[in-house]
Amino acid sequence: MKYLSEYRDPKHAHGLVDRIREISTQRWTIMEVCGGQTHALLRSGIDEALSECVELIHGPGCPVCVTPASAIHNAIHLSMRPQTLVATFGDMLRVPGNHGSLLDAQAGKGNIKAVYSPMDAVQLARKNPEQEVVFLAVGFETTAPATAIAILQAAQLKVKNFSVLCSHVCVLPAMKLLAASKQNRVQGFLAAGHVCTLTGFEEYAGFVEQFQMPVAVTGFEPTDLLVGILEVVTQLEQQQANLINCYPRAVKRNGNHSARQICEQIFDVTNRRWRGMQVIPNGGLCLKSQWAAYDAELKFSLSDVDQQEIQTECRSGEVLTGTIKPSECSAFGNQCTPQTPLGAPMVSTEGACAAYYRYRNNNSD
Amino acid sequence: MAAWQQGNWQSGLHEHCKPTGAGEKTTMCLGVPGKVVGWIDRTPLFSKAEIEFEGVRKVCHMACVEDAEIGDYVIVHAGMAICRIDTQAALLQLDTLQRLFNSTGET
Repeated sequence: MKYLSEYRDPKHAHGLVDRIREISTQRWTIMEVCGGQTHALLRSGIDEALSECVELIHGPGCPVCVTPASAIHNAIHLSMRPQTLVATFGDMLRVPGNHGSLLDAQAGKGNIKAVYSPMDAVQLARKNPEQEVVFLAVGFETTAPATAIAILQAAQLKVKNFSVLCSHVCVLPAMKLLAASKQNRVQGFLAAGHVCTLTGFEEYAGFVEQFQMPVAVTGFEPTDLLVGILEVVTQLEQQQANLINCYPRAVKRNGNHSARQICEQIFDVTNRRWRGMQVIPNGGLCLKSQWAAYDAELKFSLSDVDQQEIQTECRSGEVLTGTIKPSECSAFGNQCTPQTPLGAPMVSTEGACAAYYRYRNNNSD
Repeated sequence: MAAWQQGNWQSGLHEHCKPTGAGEKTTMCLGVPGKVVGWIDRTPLFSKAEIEFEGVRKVCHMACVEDAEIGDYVIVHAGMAICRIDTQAALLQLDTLQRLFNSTGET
């Protein structure tokens, strides 16, 4: 068992596609929440194989894409500060802010370093005691535990020159916002499997109850995705709305107990602006007041600049809410490419625009 | 259409998300299964293990999966193991698929 090739068996994939086609009496609209799922669906061609019976709408589950311009603004501002180093994931460097990206800042006076994990940023702080090391923490519930562990490590090691610019987001509140929207067309959801690995899926029961839509906790390999889609289509055909775990090898009802405990120790839930969307109630995580010493916003008296996005031809907000497909944006593939991105979804490894450019753009390699 | 017909889900699917040895790949979002091949540190909160991803070995943080044993598979996300893979659940699901679609599959 490698837990990869077994879930790419063509017989299973074709069998599942045939089954979904057989049982569908109409074209259903299903949202895959996570950007990693979007890439896997487009890469494998599942979206096209099922196009007659399922429209897949790509959800906002790309944390790089939804990180607000204000977070990038604050990170750039800190990177220009004397004796200060901003560390973050490599994905974040090319994301355009209102006044350029972190990479642009790095080419100027900005002191910015890409790291593989927040714990690496703690090590940077230990090695460079003369510098303030600020970790720009982005990501869903999947990356939040690593940020929490980094803070606990810094506390235990008495590292005082480490802090976190916290921009973590929570996925379920965004799903609720989309489902409650008057424009909503989504009839069922593939929930993000790796988020549920940490959080569990119990809290999704309330969502299913409230919105009467089927939710399948779904993994990332072709078979995983097709099993999730088959489950949701089966329920829709039977006019049912249930919560089901289609990723049982990784997801348990209560999630990862250790990770949840660690996160509860460090974070409170807060309202958070998502890029391209709006302020989402309970849509983010912030540090609890007892960890204020590690909160870069407080440590460096950063104002919560509620920056309005600069208007460009980019329609990434509509892409993130599933209102349009990336190829419907007039800038797509012209002014906006992975080399010259106008919006975050074209930059990120999980962004829907990048997926369309890579897998659906005839001019791409 | 082309992707599906060509069976693009089969090969090179995860080329871009394979963690590279030197840590130059700093993307955070993708979770990848890997095998625990050796513990490096078992100090709570600081625990680390060597994980093998299709032949590539990398040191990963284990603070959220401290009970993993050598030989276990874990899913690694942003340099940190987020869960231990449940072999029984995996086998059960694959068995169901094989019975449904009469496939020999791979083991």
